[in-house]
Amino acid sequence: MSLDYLLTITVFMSVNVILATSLNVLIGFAGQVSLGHAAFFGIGAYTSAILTVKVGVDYWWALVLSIIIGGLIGSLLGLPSLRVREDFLVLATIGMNFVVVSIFNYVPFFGGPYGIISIPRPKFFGHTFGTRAYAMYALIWAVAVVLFVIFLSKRYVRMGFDALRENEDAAESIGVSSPRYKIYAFTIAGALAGLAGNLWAHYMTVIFPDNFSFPVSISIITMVVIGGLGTITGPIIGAVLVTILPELLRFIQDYRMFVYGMIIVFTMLFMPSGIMGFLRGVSNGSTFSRKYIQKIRRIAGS
Amino acid sequence: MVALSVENISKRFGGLQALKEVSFQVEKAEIRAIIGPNGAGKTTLFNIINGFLKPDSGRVLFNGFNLVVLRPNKISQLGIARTFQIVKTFLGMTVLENILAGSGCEIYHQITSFFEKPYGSRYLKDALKIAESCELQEYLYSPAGTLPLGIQRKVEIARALATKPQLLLLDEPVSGLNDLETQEIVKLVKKINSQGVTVIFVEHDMHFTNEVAHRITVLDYGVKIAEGTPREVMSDPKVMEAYLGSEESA
Repeated sequence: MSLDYLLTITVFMSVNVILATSLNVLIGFAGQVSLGHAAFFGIGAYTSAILTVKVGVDYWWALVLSIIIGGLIGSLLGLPSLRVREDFLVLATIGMNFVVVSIFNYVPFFGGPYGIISIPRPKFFGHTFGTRAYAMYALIWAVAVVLFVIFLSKRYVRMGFDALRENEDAAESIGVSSPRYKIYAFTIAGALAGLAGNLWAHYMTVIFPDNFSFPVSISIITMVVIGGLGTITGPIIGAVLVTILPELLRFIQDYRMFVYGMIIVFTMLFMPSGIMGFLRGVSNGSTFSRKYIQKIRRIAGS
Repeated sequence: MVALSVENISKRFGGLQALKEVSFQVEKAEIRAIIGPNGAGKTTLFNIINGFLKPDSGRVLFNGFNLVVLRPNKISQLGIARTFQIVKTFLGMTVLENILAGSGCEIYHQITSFFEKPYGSRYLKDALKIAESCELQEYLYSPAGTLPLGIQRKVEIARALATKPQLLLLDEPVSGLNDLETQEIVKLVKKINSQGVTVIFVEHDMHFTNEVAHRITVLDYGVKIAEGTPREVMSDPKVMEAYLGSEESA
């Protein structure tokens, strides 16, 4: 196994951790089930690719813009969630994924089925990132995203998301505006997925519409669900497994996708609340109070 | 002093006139019951007061605000909390989390919601005090969904209290509860009221209503047919007719 191969896996893993973590904010926290997350991933990738290749913008500006545009389009594509709920929202998000991929495919500006090529690697003080530097760079972003989500998790926004997921009417009755919190969730998820798209595009240097099609959305949601919805570590574990498993299973060659699929089916059968949910022995709703019991006892005693 | 003033509220669902020109006023720190046979429009009235439904005409005044034009989350921020006929606790969250979620009422719409910690001592202290006054201490870390209905109703009331309401709306607070659980709710409602909170509740249980309510408003087919102290209302012929039928039709 060459070092380059391991570094490439590290980049993929980091991108997947960001994707899974961002989708978890949407589904695990806010309860807005989306099966179109690859669309946001693609929007980030195409934004960054077009800005650097066609407009000639510097990588770092393209990075900032792919996050902002990811967030903006996330909030726009989140608007249907104000009207439709649950299974209807799932269908609407699948539809959005197809629409976005079709636009990439058929609007010449986006390069059609051949995608966009020669996307530059980032430069830092004149040095172009090699594979090793890029792997570190992607990993740092993945850590930053996880820390950001941990930060949110300990704040009142998370309570608002939890309330929204558990019961929309009850959430409204305690002051949570459901439209506001849905848009929050879609914006955060879109912006982080946009970042993932940027990291992917500038590593691969070539992107095609198919990189962001519906099966990719399925694989992102798989990471979140097998890891454990609503937990912080769950989506990370899920993303690492989904990235690494097919690689580890290479020795069985033709059967690897079969075995991979079976592993997912059995995880869901026997650990429906994901690996982290299974380890904790609780359902996905319970958030973070146990860690604070000590503190609570102290305050109660004072 | 008037806490809430409902003025000429009408609401129609298709061919059904759910409420017709309903008006009444509730005094500050009063406990008001709204009773009436099934389908009288009681829950519809609650849903209009807390903003889930918009009436076809009329207005609801609270602290100088016309609630009819406001969203439910805004109304809860103004100081009106509610519980639901079919309990809507946050089932997957612990009792403590349910209460803490209520404590965020005033900051959910502000940017500070991205910085304030529910587990900061300020919110925790308040939540623990509320848990204690609702006798929920032993359930703090249990997910609400695992608790019996009687406890869940108290969780809902505790969550509502955490929003620091001036007016508390209780939609059938004792339906489905046994006598013991009902007595606990009686005690709790009286305690809440003694702290200056105005309470309006909808109920079918007449023992509970007579024991708790200061005044009663009676609705029948969307029309207010009587109002007064429990004693006055119980001896009102129109109320008897609504509940038991008139002598001619009997």
